[in-house]
Amino acid sequence: MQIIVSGLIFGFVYGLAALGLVLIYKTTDIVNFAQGEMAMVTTFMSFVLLSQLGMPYFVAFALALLFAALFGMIIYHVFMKRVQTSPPLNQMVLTLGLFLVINGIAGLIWGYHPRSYPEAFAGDPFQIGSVFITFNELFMVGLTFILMLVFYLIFRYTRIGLAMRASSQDMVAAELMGIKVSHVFMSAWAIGAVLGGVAGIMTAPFIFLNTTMMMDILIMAFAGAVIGGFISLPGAVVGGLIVGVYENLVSYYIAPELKMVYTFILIIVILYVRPQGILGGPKFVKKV
Amino acid sequence: MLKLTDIHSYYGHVHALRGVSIELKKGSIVSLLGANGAGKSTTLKVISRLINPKQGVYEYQQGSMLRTSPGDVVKKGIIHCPEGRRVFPLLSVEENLRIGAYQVKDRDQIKQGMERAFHYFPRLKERMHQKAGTLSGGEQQMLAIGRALMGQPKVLLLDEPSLGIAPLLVKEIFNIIQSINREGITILLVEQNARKALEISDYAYVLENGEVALEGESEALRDNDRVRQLYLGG
Ligand SMILES: Nc1ncnc2c1ncn2[C@@H]1O[C@H](COP(=O)(O)OP(=O)(O)OP(=O)(O)O)[C@@H](O)[C@H]1O
Ligand SMILES: [Mg+2]
Repeated sequence: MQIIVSGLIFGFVYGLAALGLVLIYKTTDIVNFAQGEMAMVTTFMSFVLLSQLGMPYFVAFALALLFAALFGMIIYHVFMKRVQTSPPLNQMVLTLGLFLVINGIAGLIWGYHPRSYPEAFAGDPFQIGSVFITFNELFMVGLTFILMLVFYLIFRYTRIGLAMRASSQDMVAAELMGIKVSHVFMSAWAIGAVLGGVAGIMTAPFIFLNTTMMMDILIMAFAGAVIGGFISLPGAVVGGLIVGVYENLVSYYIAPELKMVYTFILIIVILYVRPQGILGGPKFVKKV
Repeated sequence: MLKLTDIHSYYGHVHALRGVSIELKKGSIVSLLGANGAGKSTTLKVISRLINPKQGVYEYQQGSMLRTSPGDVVKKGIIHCPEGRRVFPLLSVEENLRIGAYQVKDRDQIKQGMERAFHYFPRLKERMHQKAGTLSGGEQQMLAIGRALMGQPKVLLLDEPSLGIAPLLVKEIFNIIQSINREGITILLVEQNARKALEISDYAYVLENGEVALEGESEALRDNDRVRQLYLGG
C-alpha cells in the first residue's frame, strides 16, 4: 500500500510533466525534447531566488513560474516559430539540440555539483491508515491536482482553450477565424514550460538539484505520455500515474537500478498490445 | 467596396496570379470561374491575407489592405469560407460555430448569429453536440457556411461550396447563398459549377492561367460562345 501511494505521489509529478509535453505536441505538433532541460533551468532559477536572494518559498516559486512562462515564449518565438512548417525531423533535431545547449549552458553557470533543495513544507511524516505521508507530499499532490484541473477547465471551457483546440486541428482554418495562431502556439509553449517547471521544483528536494536532474523525469514523462497516447491530455495524467506506481513497484520488488529498463519494457508491452496508447485515438489528418 | 488591381502572386517559382483585377460592388454576388489551377483559390487567399501578393493593389472601403493581418481582415467583416470546408473535426458543431465568432465580442450578437445559422441550416441544430468530423460531406459544408456567418460578414468569400455535394443539396445551398445576399452581404463565389453560378450572380470573372480572360454581367456571359463551349458544356 505504502509503495503504491508513494508511487502515485511521483506519478502526479510525471503526469504534470507529461501534460506539458502532450500539450505542446498536440497544439503545435512538435515533440519537445528540451522540455526537461527547460524545467531544470526553471528549478535552478527558483533555487537562486530562494537560497541566494533569500526570498520566501512561495514568492520564489511564483517568480520562477513566471520565468518559465517567459522562457517558453522565447523558445517558441526565437526557435520554434521558424520550423513550425518544417519536416518533423528538423523540428526534432532542433529540440534535441536545444536540450544539449541548455544543458551545457546551465552547467557553465551553475556547475556540476549537486545541491540540496528545500521542500515547500518541512515536517515528519504522519500516518493515515497504514500509510505514511508527509505534509509536503500532500502539498505536491494537491498542487499538481489543482493545476491539472485548472488546466482542464481552461482548455475545455474558455475562449483561448477553444482557440488552442481549433489551432491544433487546422492552423489555416483557425487563422481564417481571426485567431492569431502564433499567439496560441506561444501560450501553449508558455503553459507547457510552466507545467514542466512545477514538476522540476516538486522533484528537486528528492533527488538533489543538478543539471542532469530532469533526465530521468523526462524519460518517465515521455513514458507516461506515450502510454497515454501522446495526444490525449487525460491520457498523459493517467500514463504518468501508471508509470509512477510501476516504477516504485519495480524499485521495491526487483531492483531500483533497473527501473528505467523496466519502464521501457512497460512501454514496449503497452504499445505492442495497444499501438495507439491507452487513451490515444487515430491522429486526425492535418492539412496545410 | 472591395477591389484588387493588377495582383501578382507566387508560390515559390510558380507564378499563380499574373495581374488579376477584380471588383466587388456592395450587395452584389460575383462569380469567379475557371478551370483547375486557374488561380481562383489563390485570389481568395490574397483577399483574406493568407498570402501576400508580390505586386498590386488591394483596397477595401477605400483603404489599402496590404498591411492588414488575417485577424483584422476578419474583424473588418471579410470572411473566407475555404475550399474543402475545413471544419474542425474534433470540435462539436456548436464549438465550430462559436469559433467562427472568435472576433465577435458581444454575447447577444453571438447568440443571434447562432440562431441565424440554425435558421438557414436547421440540420445543424439537431447535430449541435456531434463532432464535426462525423458529419456527412453536405452537413460539413452547411457547417462551414454557418461558421462563416458567425463572423458577421459584410463580404463572404465562398470557395466551391457545391463541391462533392448531391444535386438536391446543391440547389438548396445556392438558394441559401441568394438569401444570405438578400440580407445585404456581398458575395464572391468561386465555382466549378459555372451554370449555377452564372444563374445567381450579377457579375462574373473567368480566370485562365492566373489572368482574367473574360468578365461581364453574368447574363451576358451565359450567352458568350467561349464560355458556353469551355464551361457550360456546349
Ligand atoms: N501551396 C501551394 N504551393 C505551390 N503551388 C501552389 C500552391 N497552391 C496552389 N498552387 C499552384 O497555384 C496555381 C493556382 O492554384 P489555385 O489553388 O489558386 O487554383 P484554383 O483555381 O483554386 O483551382 P481548383 O479549381 O483546382 O481549386 C496552381 O497552378 C497550383 O498548382
Ligand atoms: Mg481552388
